[in-house]
Amino acid sequence: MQVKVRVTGQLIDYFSGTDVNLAQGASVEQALVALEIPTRNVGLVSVNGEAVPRAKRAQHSLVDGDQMVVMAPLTGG
Amino acid sequence: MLKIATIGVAGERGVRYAAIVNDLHRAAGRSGVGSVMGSKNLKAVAVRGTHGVKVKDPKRFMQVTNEMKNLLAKDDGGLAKYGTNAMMDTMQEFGGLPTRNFQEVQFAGYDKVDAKAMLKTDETGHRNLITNKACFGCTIACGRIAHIHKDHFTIQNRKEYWHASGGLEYETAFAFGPVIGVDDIDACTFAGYLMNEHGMDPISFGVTLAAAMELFEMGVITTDDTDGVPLNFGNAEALTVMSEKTGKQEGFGQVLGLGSRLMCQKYGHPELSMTVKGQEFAGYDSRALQGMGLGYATGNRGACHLKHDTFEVDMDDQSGEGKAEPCKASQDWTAVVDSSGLCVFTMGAWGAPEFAAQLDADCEGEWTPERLLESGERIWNLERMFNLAAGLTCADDTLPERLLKDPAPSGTAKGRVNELDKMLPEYYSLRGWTEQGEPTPQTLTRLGLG
Repeated sequence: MQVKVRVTGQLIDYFSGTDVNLAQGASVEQALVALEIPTRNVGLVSVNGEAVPRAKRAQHSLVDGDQMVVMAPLTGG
Repeated sequence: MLKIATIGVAGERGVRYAAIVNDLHRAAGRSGVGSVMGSKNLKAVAVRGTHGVKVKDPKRFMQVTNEMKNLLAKDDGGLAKYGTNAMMDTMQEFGGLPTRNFQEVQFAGYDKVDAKAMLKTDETGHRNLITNKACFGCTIACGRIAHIHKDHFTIQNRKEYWHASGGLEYETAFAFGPVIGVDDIDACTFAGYLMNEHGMDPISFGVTLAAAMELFEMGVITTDDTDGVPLNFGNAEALTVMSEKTGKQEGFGQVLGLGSRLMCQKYGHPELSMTVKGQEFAGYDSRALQGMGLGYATGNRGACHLKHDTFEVDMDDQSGEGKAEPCKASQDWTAVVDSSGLCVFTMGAWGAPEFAAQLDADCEGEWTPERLLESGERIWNLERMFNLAAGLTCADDTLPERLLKDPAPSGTAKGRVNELDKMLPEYYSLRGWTEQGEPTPQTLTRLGLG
């Protein structure tokens, strides 16, 4: 299945594409592994505009056509 | 090496949020400290070091600070390459980007003023960002050096501004961009130049201008009040014209120089002022970032973003649940970091043990992480006692109605308001304060303040 991906902030250094191919039923956590984005560098993931808390990344299954945003941590400033 | 901290014309003429600018474009921006200098007829402090600095254990100090520098160099959070403005598109996606005087939390033109826009080369070969710049001894180098397109309306006939200077940080980009609805990166950069030149806090200026724009669009003020300048949201020319007028205290700039709270009171609409204790908000909406809202409300200098850090827990959970403890802890710890003379941007790489190791090698006495944390709590309570003695009360520990009653219209926190009513009692309790927000005698005794 194909999931649309957008990353924010400095995460552009890890992924600059627009889509990722994943196995059917892949979780948000598995998507981050596929994108090779270290978990410590992720502030929040949203799927179709809804926040997916850190503790639910492994349980949240993606479906074909989902729009996932991987947000960098905030640092203040 | 000569180092200079100076005020500009804004500090001389009493702009309420005048800044002290260090070495041309690094500012002590918040709380109007430039006005304090101006009121005392103190224009600048220039220092040339001629003696060494006494260090408790020089050998250990050099060893520890070199280790810590290496640690910092490995973990700058992308600040060197993208600067703090890398947060702009995160705040947009998160839905915490204050827009049009906090009426909205996302801004369609964000990508025209964010870090990537600064790095983009246009069709004429112009790129806003020239390079980054470090403060003395820093391995992060988050500072931006930028320039404006020579054909831009702001500097087309003003060669004196064709040079490179301090560029957009996240807060300046937010304050000259989304919160006033402007998406013109050159106008934003020029306004930044003027803030440094005249010596003003860009956050307070931008948020005050945002309130003026809302007053203008409501019809409370008209072009008769604003020297003929239409103060509509999105008007880049209004941004740059009013930046100059405010710095020089000319025309409507005298009203903007009052700051948001006094200006909104003047026009009978205090509810439009996005301030706490008279300080304008930084660029994080308290409906999406609940702990930041609690920190703003309880901040000893109001809605400042530099005195607490709940970003991580706020991003992971948009409710107010469990935010009091990290808010208190980060306030206490930030008080330590500020007192150490180190930059808060080191906090991503260094925790209490890393700070303690350096300070213990540097300063007389034994400095453990535990002692530092207690010192931070003591500082916070001392500042609180000062504020209470100055007449502030628990009624000042609040947020504007807009953040408490108007739900976030979009973003991951859509439908939420700030849950201050739930967080504040827990916060007071954790601090060892009464329900009226006053430190108990036991708390003061424990901290050596009794």
